[in-house]
Amino acid sequence: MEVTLLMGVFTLLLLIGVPVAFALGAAAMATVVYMDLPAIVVVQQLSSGMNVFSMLAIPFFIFAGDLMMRGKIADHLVAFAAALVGHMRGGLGQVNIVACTLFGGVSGSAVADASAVGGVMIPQMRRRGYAADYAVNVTANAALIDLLIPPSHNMILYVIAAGGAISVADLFTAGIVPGMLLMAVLMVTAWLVAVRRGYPSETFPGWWALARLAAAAVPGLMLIVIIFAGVRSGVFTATESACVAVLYALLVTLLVYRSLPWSAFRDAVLGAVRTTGMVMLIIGTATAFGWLMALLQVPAATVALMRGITDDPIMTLLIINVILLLLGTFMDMAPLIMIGTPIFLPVVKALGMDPVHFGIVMILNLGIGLVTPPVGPVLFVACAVGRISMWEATRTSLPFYAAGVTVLLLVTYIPALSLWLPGVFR
Amino acid sequence: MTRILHAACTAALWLGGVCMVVMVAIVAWAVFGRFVLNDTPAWAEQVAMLLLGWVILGAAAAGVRENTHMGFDILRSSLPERLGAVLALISDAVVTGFGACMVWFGTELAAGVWDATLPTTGLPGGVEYLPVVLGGALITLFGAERIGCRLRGLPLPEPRPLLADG
Repeated sequence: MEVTLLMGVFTLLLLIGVPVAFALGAAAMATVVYMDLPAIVVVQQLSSGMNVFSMLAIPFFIFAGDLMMRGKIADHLVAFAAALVGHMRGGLGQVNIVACTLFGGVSGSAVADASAVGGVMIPQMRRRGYAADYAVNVTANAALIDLLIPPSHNMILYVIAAGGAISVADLFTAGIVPGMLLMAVLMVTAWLVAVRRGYPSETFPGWWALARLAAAAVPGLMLIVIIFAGVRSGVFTATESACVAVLYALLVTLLVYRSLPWSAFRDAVLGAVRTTGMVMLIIGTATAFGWLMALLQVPAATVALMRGITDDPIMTLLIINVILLLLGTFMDMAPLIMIGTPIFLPVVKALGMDPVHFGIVMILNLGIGLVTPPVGPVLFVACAVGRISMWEATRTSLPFYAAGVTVLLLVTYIPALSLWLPGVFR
Repeated sequence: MTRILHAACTAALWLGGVCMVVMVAIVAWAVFGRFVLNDTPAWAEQVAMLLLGWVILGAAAAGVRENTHMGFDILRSSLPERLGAVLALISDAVVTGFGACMVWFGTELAAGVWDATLPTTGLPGGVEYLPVVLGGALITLFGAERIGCRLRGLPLPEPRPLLADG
């Protein structure tokens, strides 16, 4: 009864339009009152959920991403990507995908990626005769690569939600191959669509120009090396590496590129504060919600339920993927990671799945939700930049969507894609 | 009244902004201390965590006024106007009520540990819960403002474009 009440109130509040953070908190509050527990415990859980030192990495990575987005680091990455792959068929689509991958390595937020790279690429693509729906779909789907390439604050969230027993360094490393795979599959998809629609290619600017643009992009790209090497070698904790990312982003945008006026700095700070408030309030109320779920033994019940349906690991993973895809369509990543991890991780662990592998599957899966209408925020941002409606974008998004789901299935069923690289480094 | 609330919202955001910058500086100092001075400042972690509370709850409250919290309003907007308006009112009431709970229980929590002192900083234990109390108070105020606007048929405070996580 208590579980029904908790889930029922939450779903009901969500449906009438209560923001996720408050729906989680109010549902927990209602259930606690029903169970005759002291209601103060909900607020205590909310406060303690936000009071974990490794949580500091999340606002820092968000802040670094905002600085890089407003400090025009993306422009240099786009110029480099254009010289690198612009001469392929549907060149600007390929440029967009490669630039998103590079920016993913420095920012870690798919929304920042879609607006930073999309802001540069989508208008350019439209001027060169690409249809807006193509430009928007390429941008939105390529932005998902960002979630897999470190740093990614959603990975930190997963580590926290999983109880902290997973190494951030392993998870960061595990995302690289799937991220590259997603990039490759999207590039093939963009190429096929470009050939069918007869999109042009750009001229190759020559090796000298390529080298020059590569050199100009290096200061931005160095951040990947610093964070990755720092966390991987254990020199920095995730929080410290995130702090270094902020300082480095400031250094590059202020002194090297000189592209961060005071107004852009102020917008970056306030933008990061706004996003932090949204994301971390959800983390706080989701902690209270998750605590109650654990108290009511929901994770154990889910394991038993799944066992009752099927013993087959392939089917179980398929079921979990479908559930997450459906939930991801309607809800944001942060609450789903916070609530979904304690429920599903025991199920897949019982099947012998590595938690690092599951983390990558979950993040990619929920990422696909970010580009699925009606509430996909990344698709929303890309559509806003491209000035088309979500419906116009969705009509032709199927090949890109299929590409994402294909990679998800590959990553789900071939553990080596995620686990090989961390093994090499260990 | 609108002007006062607008000022409170802006102040909450700016307070969050200042705390964010100071947090970066503190953690950077701690890293510098560990690598260069060979002496990790013990207070750094705790102060950064205290500041984080203000960033989160100030911004979360501002998010109520600016309407940036992620929610699912497709159903509401597809319903008949009257019914949708009633649901919107209920939604605001839930937000306001939760804010009030944060104030009430947050105060209780803060009072309960006020006599204890936090280890490295020596501050009263209750300061950890102050952002919950103050953030909750702002959430309650901003939520009540929305309810007031709706009941009197006034326009809501300026909604901002979507800023999402991901």
